[in-house]
Amino acid sequence: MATAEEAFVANARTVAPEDDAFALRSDAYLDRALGLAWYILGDTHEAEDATQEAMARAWKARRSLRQLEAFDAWIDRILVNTCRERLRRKRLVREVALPPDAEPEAVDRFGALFARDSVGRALGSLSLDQRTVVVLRYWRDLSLEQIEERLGWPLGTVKSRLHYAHAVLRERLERDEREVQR
Amino acid sequence: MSDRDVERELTEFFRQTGTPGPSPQLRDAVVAARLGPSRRRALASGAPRVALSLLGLAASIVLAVGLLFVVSNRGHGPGDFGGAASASDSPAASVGDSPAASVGDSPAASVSESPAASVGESPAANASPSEGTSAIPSESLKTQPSTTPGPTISFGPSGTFSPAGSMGADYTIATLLRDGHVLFTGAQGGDLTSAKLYDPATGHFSPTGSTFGPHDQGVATLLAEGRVLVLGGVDIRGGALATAELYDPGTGKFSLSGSLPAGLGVSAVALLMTGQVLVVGTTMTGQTMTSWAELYDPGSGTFKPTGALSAVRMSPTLTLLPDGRVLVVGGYDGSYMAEGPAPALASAETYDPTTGRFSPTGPMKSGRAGHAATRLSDGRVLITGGSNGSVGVASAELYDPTTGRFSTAGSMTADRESHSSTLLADGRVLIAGGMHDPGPVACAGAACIAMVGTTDLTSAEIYDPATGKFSRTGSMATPRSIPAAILLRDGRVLVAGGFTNQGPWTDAELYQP
Repeated sequence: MATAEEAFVANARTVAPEDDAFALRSDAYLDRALGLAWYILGDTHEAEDATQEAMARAWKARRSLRQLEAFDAWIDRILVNTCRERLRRKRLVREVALPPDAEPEAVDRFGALFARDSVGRALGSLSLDQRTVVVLRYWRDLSLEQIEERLGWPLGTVKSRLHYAHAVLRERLERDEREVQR
Repeated sequence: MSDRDVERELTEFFRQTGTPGPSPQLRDAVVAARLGPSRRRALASGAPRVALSLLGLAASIVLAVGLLFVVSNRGHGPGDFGGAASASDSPAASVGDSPAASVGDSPAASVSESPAASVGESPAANASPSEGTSAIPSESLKTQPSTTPGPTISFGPSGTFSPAGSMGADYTIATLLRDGHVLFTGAQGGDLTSAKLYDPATGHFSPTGSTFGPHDQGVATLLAEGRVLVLGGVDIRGGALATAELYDPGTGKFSLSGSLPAGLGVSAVALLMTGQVLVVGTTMTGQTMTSWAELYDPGSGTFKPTGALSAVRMSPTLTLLPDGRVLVVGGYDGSYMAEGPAPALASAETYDPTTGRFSPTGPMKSGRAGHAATRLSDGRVLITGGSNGSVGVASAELYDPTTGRFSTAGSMTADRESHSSTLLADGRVLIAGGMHDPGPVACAGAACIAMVGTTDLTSAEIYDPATGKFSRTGSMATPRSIPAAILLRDGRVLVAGGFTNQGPWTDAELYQP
């Protein structure tokens, strides 16, 4: 009779998706991964690094994904966690100023476009948690339960973060409207 | 502007606004990560992206990435961006600076700023393998020095917290072993299957075994024979983890020990006097949540259904009572609502292992979810804080198992949700951290931003059953909600990990009563 460990390994071997299928799914996900990382981190360079790191983590952990149908939720979670870790690390690292001649190219051009939109600016004023929930809800169009799965928070926490995000966004947008009307 | 208007604005914004497309460098790096270590090293050494980032030549990379953006939004292409915006105008600036900081002198700002500084000053945090800066995780990351340096052991002044080093990962589960060590499992990032042992004598966190699967936000309990049951959590597939594992302190290894039916999410466990373990959780079918209860038998490594809870409870607390029953308290009722708060339950029930049934008891005076329950030395159970479904509550209640009734037990000095509650050796209770949730706030103007939103707490307080009162004690250096807190054999309390809006923490603190 097989031990539990042997059964686990056998199960992983028979049920785990083929690497090729996993790779194809990963490649197809890359655009959305980068988008999600961008909305969370707000910086293209950081988003690319986070996406790269998350995809590498996912590949290493691919055997734990036993149903390819669950890929999106699985990798979203890895990506969100990676982004959060990077934000923490970023606060531990001293920023080094770029040389003056590099400045025009160093500007995140997508971010600049984002900043010109009042909704974009309002999103930028949200906390990390609030922004993550908003992006998953309205950009990814996920249900609260799906967000709960991805973030590993109780449903109440997801609702709470979304509720307060709405309050902040509403206030920011109304303030922008008033300034435009002046 | 109504919530619907905000939703419309967001939906329209995301519909019209594209995101940057992956650069060729990113695609190459993703493929490279799938290759073997030697091939990956070869690619990495020749890959401008990695090499340049290590040299700090970020400008060149951004130039390359920036030129390759594909933006399909509001009719603008890459050429429509016009003049360069200042960095401070971009969302990137507000992210990096922390949104909380942008609200000026709000309470949220001052709290959110402090943890980063304290973590930044922690040498252990910087030494953590999981926090390396390599863009491509490499095998070598796993072979970094295996023991994270801890602080020199010293007992701080009474009623204070002192740094206790870094766990090396953001573990979510802590279990006191018979020999006084503390087992940490359920990492949220890095190596999700890693585990650490904390040695109170040396203050060191050292690696031990690896779980078969990730147990992020899972549960654990020390079994009667000294092994540890680790169960549940949300795995990185996004689903509920059904696998149970046993940690053997003698060998330092984990082994598989049965599994719950697929799809069952574990909320809480309680070790029964029989040696079995009561496991309670929820499962979703479509939009409907149901509660379930199972008994785990360590001898056979099997689960079997037991009883039926009288209510759907998401994240209740379980507390073993002196007579062998288990008190089940509160939790969210599991109703799905697109907007608004989730109702928190005031109801409670007890599980009787001799009959295998749940019976109503109580109820509490207030609905509570995210609360804490701690059995006192006299057998009563202290219930503190939580959310009533709308706002955080500061009130506390005492459950008397002999009468089956809850009575008010005063109020904490602050409302707390997702805090820790630890019975001290002298019979008092340490309440630490948690989250202040002001609930919906009627406000206008800039003040509104400063007033809304949850705030993670550094503060702590002591409940004294002799006086029935709460009083402030020293504060932690780091605000923590959902921290892991363990009473050590020497009477100190190890409070570790937890969250803030900036993410999970990997460091720990020691409370000296």
